[in-house]
Amino acid sequence: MSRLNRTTLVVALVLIIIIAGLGIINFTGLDIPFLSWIKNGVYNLLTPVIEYTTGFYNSVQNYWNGIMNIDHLIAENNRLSKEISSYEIENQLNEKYKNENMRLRKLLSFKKRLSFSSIGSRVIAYTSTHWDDRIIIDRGSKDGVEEQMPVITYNGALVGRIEYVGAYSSQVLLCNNLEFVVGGIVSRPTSRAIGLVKGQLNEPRINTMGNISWNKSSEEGDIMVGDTIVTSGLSNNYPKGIPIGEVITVENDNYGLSQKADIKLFMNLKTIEEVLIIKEF
Amino acid sequence: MIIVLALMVQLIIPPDFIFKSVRPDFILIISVVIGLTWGVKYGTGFGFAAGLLQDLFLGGMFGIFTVIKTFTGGLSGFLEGIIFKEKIIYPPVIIFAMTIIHESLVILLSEKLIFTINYYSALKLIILPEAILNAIIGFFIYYLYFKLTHSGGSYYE
Repeated sequence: MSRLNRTTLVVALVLIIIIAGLGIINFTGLDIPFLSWIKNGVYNLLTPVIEYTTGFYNSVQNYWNGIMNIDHLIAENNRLSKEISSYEIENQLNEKYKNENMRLRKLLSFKKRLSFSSIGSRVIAYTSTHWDDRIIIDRGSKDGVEEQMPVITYNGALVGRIEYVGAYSSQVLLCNNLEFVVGGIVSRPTSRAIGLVKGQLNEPRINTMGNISWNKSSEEGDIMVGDTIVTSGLSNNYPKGIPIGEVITVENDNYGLSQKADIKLFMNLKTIEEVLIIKEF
Repeated sequence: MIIVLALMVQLIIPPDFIFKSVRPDFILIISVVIGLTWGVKYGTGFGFAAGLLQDLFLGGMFGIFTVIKTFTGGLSGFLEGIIFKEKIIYPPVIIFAMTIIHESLVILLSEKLIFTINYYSALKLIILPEAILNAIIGFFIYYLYFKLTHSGGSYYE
């Protein structure tokens, strides 16, 4: 007890009061403007520093990789130069087909498919805990980003949704997070199996799709290994048809009252460097 | 400065940079090292500031890291006079134990985790591998920090 003098006790008491206050805020979900202001300030102050540090870290990493693979890079450069010339020809052909496609659609009175209004963004940081999978991207409210906007990879696979928006950066809640839930549907034309796709703790690359109809012979219960799961579009938060993952196992759930599937996500946290934020759909 | 640096290292390093999907907790490691080196006051203070910054920055589970990091930092500080600082085998063992305490408290205090995860699976697949990784990294960090802070000679001189 000799180590606990008066100052220590006062400091400990103050800390206990602050901690208790934070605990109450956390459990009751109180929104205190002053705390939000501090939080936004800290967030907006630190993200530019993190962004520059990440840029520096990536530059050093790329430079080092370049030195280590110089022969490979020269060979790849030659190969890509040749490929580019062939793509230019292909591009011209594609342009021709695109115009033809548009003309034919017009002729057949097809409803013009609305494209997403999106904005590209770079991943600048990853969250620091196992329990809350998020990434931080370099677009914020100044770029028109809002909470709940869906985020996809450049290949179109679902990454997650915007959870917190700062002035120049945002946090994305990844689709493998425990909190994340999205309506999924089998993309095979003969099936209409729908369910809720959720993140799970132990397998960061595998989500589960539950609440699928028990009746395997019906369209609603027709799900099999290898099927691609896309967003159902039943909620207003996500557009229909964004690829989520591929079914790897299907089993009965709730004593046979429904089916459950494991979905291997197309999104790979390892390779995500850039993402697209869907602003309007 | 050390807190901001630890947070930045934590955020910049990709999740599987070191070992598969196991992420080290640099903020925890450093708060334990500070506690073991300088005692309860510094351990608690550092843990509090580091946890608060982590909470303010991440915002997912507001308040939780402030509480837990203050506790683990303070607890490490209590061991300051008990262990011999020159015996660098003890800090990794303490960091290992603190990681288990820290992650178990995160589960216990988080409403969304306590009802959704199986503690035994979490312990086997996440907490123990992280504790081992933290202990290994902590060994080097403690060694460097000890050399830097006690470069003038033996602590007991």
